[in-house]
Amino acid sequence: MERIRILPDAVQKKIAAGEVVEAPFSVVKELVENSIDAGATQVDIQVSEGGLKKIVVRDNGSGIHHDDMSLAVAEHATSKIRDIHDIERIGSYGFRGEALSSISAVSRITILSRRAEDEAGARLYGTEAGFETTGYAGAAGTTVIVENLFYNIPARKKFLKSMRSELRAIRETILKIAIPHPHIAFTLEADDGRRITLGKAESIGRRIEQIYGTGIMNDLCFVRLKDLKIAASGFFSKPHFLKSSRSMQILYVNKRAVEYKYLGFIITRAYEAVAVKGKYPAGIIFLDLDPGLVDVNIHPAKREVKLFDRRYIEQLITGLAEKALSREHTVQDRLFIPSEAEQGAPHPIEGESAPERPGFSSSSAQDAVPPPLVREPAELYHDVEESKRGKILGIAFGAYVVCERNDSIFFIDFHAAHERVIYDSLVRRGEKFESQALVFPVILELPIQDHALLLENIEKFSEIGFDIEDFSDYSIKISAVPALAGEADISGIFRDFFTSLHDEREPGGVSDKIAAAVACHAAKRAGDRLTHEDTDLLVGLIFREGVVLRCPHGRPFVYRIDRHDIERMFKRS
Amino acid sequence: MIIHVSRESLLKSINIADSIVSSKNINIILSNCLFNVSQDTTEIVSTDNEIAVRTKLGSKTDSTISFAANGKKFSSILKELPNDELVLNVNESFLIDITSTSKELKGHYALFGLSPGEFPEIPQFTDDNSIEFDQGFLKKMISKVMYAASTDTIKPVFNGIYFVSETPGTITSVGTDSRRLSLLTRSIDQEANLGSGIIIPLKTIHELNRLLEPAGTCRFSFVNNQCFFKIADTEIISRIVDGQFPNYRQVVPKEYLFEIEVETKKFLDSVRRVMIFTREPAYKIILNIQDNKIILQANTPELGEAEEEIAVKSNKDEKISIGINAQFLIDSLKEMDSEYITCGITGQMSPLTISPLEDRNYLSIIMPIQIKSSHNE
Ligand SMILES: Nc1ncnc2c1ncn2[C@@H]1O[C@H](COP(=O)(O)OP(=O)(O)OP(=O)(O)O)[C@@H](O)[C@H]1O
Ligand SMILES: [Mg+2]
Repeated sequence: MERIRILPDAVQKKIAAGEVVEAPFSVVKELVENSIDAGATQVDIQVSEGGLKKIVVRDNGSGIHHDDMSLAVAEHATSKIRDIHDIERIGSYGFRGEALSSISAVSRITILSRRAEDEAGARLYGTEAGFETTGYAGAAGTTVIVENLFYNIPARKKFLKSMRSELRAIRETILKIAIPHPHIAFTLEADDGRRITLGKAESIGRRIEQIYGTGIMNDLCFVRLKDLKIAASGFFSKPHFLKSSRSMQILYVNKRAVEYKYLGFIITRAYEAVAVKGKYPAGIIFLDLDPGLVDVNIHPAKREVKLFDRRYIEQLITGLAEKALSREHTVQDRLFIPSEAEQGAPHPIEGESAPERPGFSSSSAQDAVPPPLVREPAELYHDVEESKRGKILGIAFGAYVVCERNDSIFFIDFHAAHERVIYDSLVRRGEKFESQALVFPVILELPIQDHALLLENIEKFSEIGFDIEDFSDYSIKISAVPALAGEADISGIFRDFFTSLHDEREPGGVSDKIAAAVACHAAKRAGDRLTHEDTDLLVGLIFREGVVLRCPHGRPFVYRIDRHDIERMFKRS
Repeated sequence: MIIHVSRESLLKSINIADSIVSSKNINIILSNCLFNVSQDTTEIVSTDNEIAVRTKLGSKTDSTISFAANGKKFSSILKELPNDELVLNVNESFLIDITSTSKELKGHYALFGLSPGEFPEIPQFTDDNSIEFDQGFLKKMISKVMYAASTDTIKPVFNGIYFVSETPGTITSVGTDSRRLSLLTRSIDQEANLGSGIIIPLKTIHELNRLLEPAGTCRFSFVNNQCFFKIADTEIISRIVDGQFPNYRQVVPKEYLFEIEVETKKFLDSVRRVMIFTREPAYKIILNIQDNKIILQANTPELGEAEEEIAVKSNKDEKISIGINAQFLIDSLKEMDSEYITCGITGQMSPLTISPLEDRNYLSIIMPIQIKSSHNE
């Protein structure tokens, strides 16, 4: 690593000035960023009393030259840039040479550091009088200890939230920084124990799983777009996965989490068709571009950046989200647990909610309860009032049932709803299946690999009502089909099944995939004749308790307009 | 140009031709009928590119003209006119002026016609290999099996009726949707050269069924992928479904576990009532057959249940329970003209065969529905 020097005056003036240390989490952010800049692969953080008493960040990075220790805490002293031109192409988190000096001004700082190549390192510690340096012969790397934060500005201390929420903010800060660095291991220890343990992960996807739970990849899909200037990629919600806050909308520009006020808007717009008001899809987005095309020097805490072409970036993000949406999506298992969440149901009480999982709600610390990460979006289940199935007003465009119910008008996509009903009855475990024998068995020839796959799973087909035998030369003989499938296109069912089986991004087990393929072909389509009875029955079925109001691919099939919306439309209220 | 024509026969002919015209056709000319008028006949032609109808009626005029006109509009006005002779006056821009000779009515109706220009060429009836049928005979061959054909166009081979001459002097028609099959064999007093059999599309079958009368004769012929029917003054030209009809004989059970005799109407009425307690698309009812009776049961969660018992005559002291689609059963029983039917039972997962008591040449085969339990409880 370069040695530290004081930036020339002209450069100092160019740097966005302002407050660096707002709260304990900003100290953590600055220290961890320094560790990453120093090439650390292990970063351990300890926090005591919400960070106010003590913050320790230890890394195994390059270390600081023992002669540079006092420069590290000097104003405008950095090893990361040298001149004006470097400001225009910043590849590291740090560049201002400000963080340690700002921190040391509001706390008691101690830095222990040794470069691997040196026998002896140095220990620097702040006293009333100034900084003192002694020798240090500990492990290679750097440890920064920040004690008694804000001891000298009591006014600031008053503005801080509870220790608990400061700790939460610290945790979120670390997780947010950890996502784009899967190869770095992070730990966080607070007074009462381990809060974060993130071992080295092989990819960003794995890191996201470490943070949000292994099931998260059922809810997200990964997409990427690339052009000459920018590589954009991201993990986006599958249509069913909506959250009640924007906590999973994060934009990284060259691994720096930045606030971009249009981000939520862009994602919401892309998800317009599937998202519901007040619900937010996830979008963890990574833009990697030439540092010369980003200006990170516009915000004192580097929370915002200026991108070379906003319109273009917006298009890119929209493109990513749309790509994610146009994937085939299947609903995963856990959507079938019976509903507990209803609109207006009480929020789970903190501590009682789902098992503790790390997560973050937004970049600024808030007193609000962090949204439980694995809870079902409430509107996936319908508010139930079994007795009232409502009055069917008619069918629009041959495809949408219009129904009046409980002071609302519902629009129901018949095909998708029918798909759901068939799917649900197929996946209901422990049920009896009606199997319709065929006069003429269907012989299907399959690619070798599919043939083997099918034979492996033949039981699962039979559980749903198929009767399949190995025929000859990679063909199978289907002599009975689920009675629910009616006259459905059998080869179409198998084609769809194999497509979804080969799509690794698609969640759900083999049985679910079979059921989804059958449901899709058995459901009535737009243009099929729908009798009043059909619609009545279907509407009755979907408004029952626990029915997921999305088709097996995740598209919602019910939209509702409330009476007061209509009244407002006519300016009656 | 002036044409004299009977209102009644013009209306009837237009209706025949227009019945195959689809209003959804994107090709505008095909949503019209073509009128070819000569001295003493008017020929009306329509097509949807898969099937064509050509029908003739008498009319008087002194020269010839062709024009196209919307059959539905034409027939709507004719329907409302008194039954007197009509005078049609068609000008060069194909405006059709319709006048009734009725003294009661003073009116003027002019329908915009079209140039016949792009109307496709419809092949002429070929007499080669033609077979002559009684209309009533052909109508039975069709109507007794068509209900079993698939309405689904994904499997074109099943979306039609298969005609074949299995042995000289017989003709067999077969319809199936792969869950049931209906088969009728009748003898005819001539050689029917149907080669390896032909599959006539269901749409054509419905058209024929409508046109065929109980009496009179009709002619049938086919070349390559087209077949022709000549019924009185009307010809139907249709494509033949390309493909191999499966070996249906293999499906017909050679012997039964046991057979029962049931009174057709009683059985039908029972099934109708019990079926109310089933749901589509399976419409599953259970037939419990034992001790010279059938107990029919339906049980659908959240709907209700039904149970009925009817007396039957069984040739063996066997018992069995078979799940079956009630709609299929009704469709079959409705076509059984005899007072009693026999039901051949071969097993729980094997075909149920229904025939009129004294007629084993008419078979209706229904595949059962089996109840399987899932293992992963
Ligand atoms: N953990 C560390 N390992 C190695 N060197 C470090 C570490 N922390 C700080 N340094 C050195 O100390 C210098 C000052 O750090 P500081 O965070 O104050 O400034 P910076 O990172 O260069 O810029 P900025 O404050 O804008 O982030 C760095 O440039 C770096 O050389
Ligand atoms: Mg720094």
